[in-house]
Amino acid sequence: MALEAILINKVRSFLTTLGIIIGVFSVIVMIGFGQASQAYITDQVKGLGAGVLIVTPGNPKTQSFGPPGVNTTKTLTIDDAESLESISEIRYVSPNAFVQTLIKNENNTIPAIVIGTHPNVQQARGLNIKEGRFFTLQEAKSASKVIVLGYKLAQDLFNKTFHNPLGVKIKIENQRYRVIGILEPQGSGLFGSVDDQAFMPTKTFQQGVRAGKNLNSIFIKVKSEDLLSVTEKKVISRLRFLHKIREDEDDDFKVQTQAELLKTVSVVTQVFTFLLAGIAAISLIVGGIGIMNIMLVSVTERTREIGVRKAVGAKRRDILIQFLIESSSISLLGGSIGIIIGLSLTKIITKFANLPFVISPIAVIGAFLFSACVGIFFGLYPANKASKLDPVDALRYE
Amino acid sequence: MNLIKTEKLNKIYGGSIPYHALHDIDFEVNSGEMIAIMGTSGSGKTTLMNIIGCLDRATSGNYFFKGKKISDYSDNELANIRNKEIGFVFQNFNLLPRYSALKNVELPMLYTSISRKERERKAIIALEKVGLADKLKNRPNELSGGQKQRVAIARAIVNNPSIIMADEPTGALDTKTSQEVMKIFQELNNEGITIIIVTHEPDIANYCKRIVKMKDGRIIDDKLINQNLVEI
Ligand SMILES: Nc1ncnc2c1ncn2[C@@H]1O[C@H](COP(=O)(O)OP(=O)(O)OP(=O)(O)O)[C@@H](O)[C@H]1O
Ligand SMILES: [Mg+2]
Repeated sequence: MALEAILINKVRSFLTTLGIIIGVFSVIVMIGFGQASQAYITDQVKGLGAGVLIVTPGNPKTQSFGPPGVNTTKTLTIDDAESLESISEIRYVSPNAFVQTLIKNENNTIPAIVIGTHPNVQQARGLNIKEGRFFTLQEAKSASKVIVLGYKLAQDLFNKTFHNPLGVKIKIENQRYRVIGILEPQGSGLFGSVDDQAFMPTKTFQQGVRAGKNLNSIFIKVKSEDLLSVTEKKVISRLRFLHKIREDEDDDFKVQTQAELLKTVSVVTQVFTFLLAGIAAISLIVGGIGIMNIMLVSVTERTREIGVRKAVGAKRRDILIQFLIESSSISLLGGSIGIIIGLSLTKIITKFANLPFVISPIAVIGAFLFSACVGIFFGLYPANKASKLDPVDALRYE
Repeated sequence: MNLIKTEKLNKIYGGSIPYHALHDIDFEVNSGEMIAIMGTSGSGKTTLMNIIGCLDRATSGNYFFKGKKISDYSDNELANIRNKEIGFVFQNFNLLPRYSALKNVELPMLYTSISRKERERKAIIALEKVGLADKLKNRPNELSGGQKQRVAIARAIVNNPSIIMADEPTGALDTKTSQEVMKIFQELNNEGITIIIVTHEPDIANYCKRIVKMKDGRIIDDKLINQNLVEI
């Protein structure tokens, strides 16, 4: 019968559920979006493969959160990277350097991030080739003047109509580089949008694009995962030796495993997700106050009904439960609609933002239970008020 | 044994000026009686009905229902008695406006363990008894005053109570409809249900077997009438 009361007051019930709908809907979207971003970033980091160490310059204690390679302290050099190659547990070392610069082709001058790196990065970062190929180890060793272009960068440089950019020489800082490959469109990721980036061997980079030995990061692939901690210790002591750091001094670099990097990333995105969900939860509470308001009106309007029910034998508990069922049905109805709209919108957003669509059962069940709790909590006061009505007074109520 | 027996019931309404509405009421009702309570406005008829109907409590005095001392009962126990033993009929019908006649009659059974199907079956029987078998799905605003009161009577009898208490049941009805309603009460009484009716109208009181007169919170007259009717 409680449900009938809701159906009878359709418009009012709908307006009341609106607050809950909006609340649940925003919780779902916020969490969905946050988790999608996290899943994406996690994928990216995992793409580096297990058994990876990332060395970045700068003292870890004075360094802030952020993706590797953004530090300005120039303490990591190509010499360090080459020296590390002699550690027996290491499969390969990828010295990475990058710079924001201009790339020229005939009349087109396009700003882009040019990255000097190791050929294995293609696989580690999942860079699929659309046309041509990535540079080889030989080309890396011999500092060949070759370059691989991100999809959008290639489009901009060669106008959309140009169909065969392979072999063309483009200009960076007055040096010419031969285009040997175009990447597939990737969308944006942890290290920026690959589509706007260009890749070349580190040596080539350091001879022309940015002279000098400094690196932004070194990726180290270890021969097997269980050698990770041994290798990490060796890398640290080797770098301390190379940098002439005294016993009592801190490292001027930071070594992170993939797991540590994942942890850092997920802490950041989790804080972000909770913050968004918290804001959304406030709207749920506002929705709950709306329910309380409407239930109080309903109790007053139905004072006579309560009197009649008590006269025919309803106990306090019966009235209490009736009104609680009513308030929680309203909020559960709102919650369900909110979940459906929220999930649909998350699906649409993630599709357009090129992110994975993850339904978090915890978020959905949580939103559902939370809206039930909101209904019960905010229904409690009106329901209790109704149940306490004296039957004689309630029957006399005009 | 008496169905109802009160000893020195007093009711004092609180508030800024306390009002002594009932004075030392000693009142007995036997099973099968049909009683009219009469008296001027404000004489305490409704107050007395509410107390013996277990809707309200006396300020002092004892109240026995079927030999049990009800005055000490908890609210939940009183609710149980209202549910199982007492049927109420009000002047203003007090039907739930948004529910059909059938649902209104089912209402007292919602607070029992009777199954949904059984509830519906019993409600239909009760409505048939008051001659409303064709109005099951109508809402109160689709019924005439007399029909509404008959739905209310069906609701009062659906749990097979020992007693029906009707506070001015014909107060809102015209003479002809009033007579129809009173005939229903008489039939129910003939089936053995005890009935107490509060009324201002002597014509209505004449359908009963006993008339109790009240004044200023006291019973001033209590006499049997229509003894021949008992034989019918
Ligand atoms: N809740 C209350 N608080 C204070 N006084 C009350 C209350 N209920 C009734 N009274 C007073 O008690 C007296 C008896 O009231 P009651 O309703 O029993 O009269 P009644 O005989 O039913 O009258 P009527 O024929 O008009 O229905 C009246 O004077 C009334 O003002
Ligand atoms: Mg009265």
